[in-house]
Amino acid sequence: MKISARNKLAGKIIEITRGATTSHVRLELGPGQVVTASITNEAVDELGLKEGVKAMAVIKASDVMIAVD
Amino acid sequence: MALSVAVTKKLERGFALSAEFTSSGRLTALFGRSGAGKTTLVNLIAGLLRPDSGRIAIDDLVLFDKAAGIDLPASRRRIGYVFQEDRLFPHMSVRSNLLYGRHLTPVDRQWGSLDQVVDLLGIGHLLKRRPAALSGGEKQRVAIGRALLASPRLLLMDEPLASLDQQRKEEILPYIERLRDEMQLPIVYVSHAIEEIARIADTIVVLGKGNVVAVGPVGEILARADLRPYTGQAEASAVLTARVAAQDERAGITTLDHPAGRLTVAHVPVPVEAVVRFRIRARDVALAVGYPGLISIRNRLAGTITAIHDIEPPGVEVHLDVGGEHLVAAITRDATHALELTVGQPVTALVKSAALDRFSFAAEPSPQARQPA
Repeated sequence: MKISARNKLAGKIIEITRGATTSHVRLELGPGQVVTASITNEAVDELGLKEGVKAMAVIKASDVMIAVD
Repeated sequence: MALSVAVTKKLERGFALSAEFTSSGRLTALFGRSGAGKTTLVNLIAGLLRPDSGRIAIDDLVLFDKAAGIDLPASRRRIGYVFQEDRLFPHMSVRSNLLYGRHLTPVDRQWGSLDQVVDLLGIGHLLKRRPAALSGGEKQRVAIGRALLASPRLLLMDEPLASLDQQRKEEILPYIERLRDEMQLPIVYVSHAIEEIARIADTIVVLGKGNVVAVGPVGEILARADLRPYTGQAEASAVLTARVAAQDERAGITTLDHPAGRLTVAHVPVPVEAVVRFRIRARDVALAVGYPGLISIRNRLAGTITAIHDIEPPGVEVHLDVGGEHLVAAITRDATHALELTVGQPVTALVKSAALDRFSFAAEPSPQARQPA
């Protein structure tokens, strides 16, 4: 797969919270580093996502913000 | 209906307008920033200002022609005018306000009844009230009704929503869509708000400083990078149309059929088979070469690259033809190189369902309504 989104962060799914139409998928990239994705329930099923499965968070560069401590 | 305008007008303080366009759209939007000359142009069409030179006509009816010595007075042009402020008579009921302009039109030229207009605008329950007891959105609907009941041949709307908050705008926009689709009445709609125009216009006239910069269908104008300084858009967007293929209310999902692919979005309250238009911001579109693989993004449109432009801040806008419509993706230069994107290449556009919320959607002008009366 070649995709224009520049950021692909590999991790392991630690939690999936299913809502009416969308699920919140929490992906642990490393100890204490978690990103959350809001995706459709359909996508969760099609990709066979569940806790413990390895997946990638794909983020367009225009959607990344930077903060400093 | 075709509105043709070719006029010049010099105003005080050095402002000069020189505008030429024709539109056969049901709703023609005059769009530009403050000081572009939108209201001047509307006043020239209405007959409230006299051009220095030129011609204005609705089909064969000439409203103004300097060379031929024609200048139909405002009162005989039968043009309805809705302003930013409602201008209702405070001492009169809604009903009396609505009927105020009725007698100014000869009986044989009148169309539309009070009942019909009241029903169209959903103001039946307000008839006995005074304007002071109405909300901003209700007042504006009554003002539109008053303009309609004078049986105009053209309706001018000058920033009719500008003084309303977002919620009131959302309330009134569906009525303007109905007006556009159900009445055989051409509308010229002035606005500086691109979201409003993306929703309701079929033709856009972009005004720069006193001149016409571009005229064209809404999707084409919004996607054009060179018009960005005039439209004031921080970024490109596209307007696509699709048919509602299925509704799954339990899952809260609407499925749309587009010639370039199937789209799944959060529930949009319209019937199956209805045609909707929706706006997609360029930044919400990613591109994939070949099969995108297993990825959670549901909406995949097959397209062909038609142009690649550099934009500021450093990035690239990739323009695509998707099933005959124009889509724009804003991506990084880095990505353009990594995917080796070139004009003519087939790609898949990926749009997250979450990027298409219910405010992205509007009723598409119905095809029947486009036919002349």
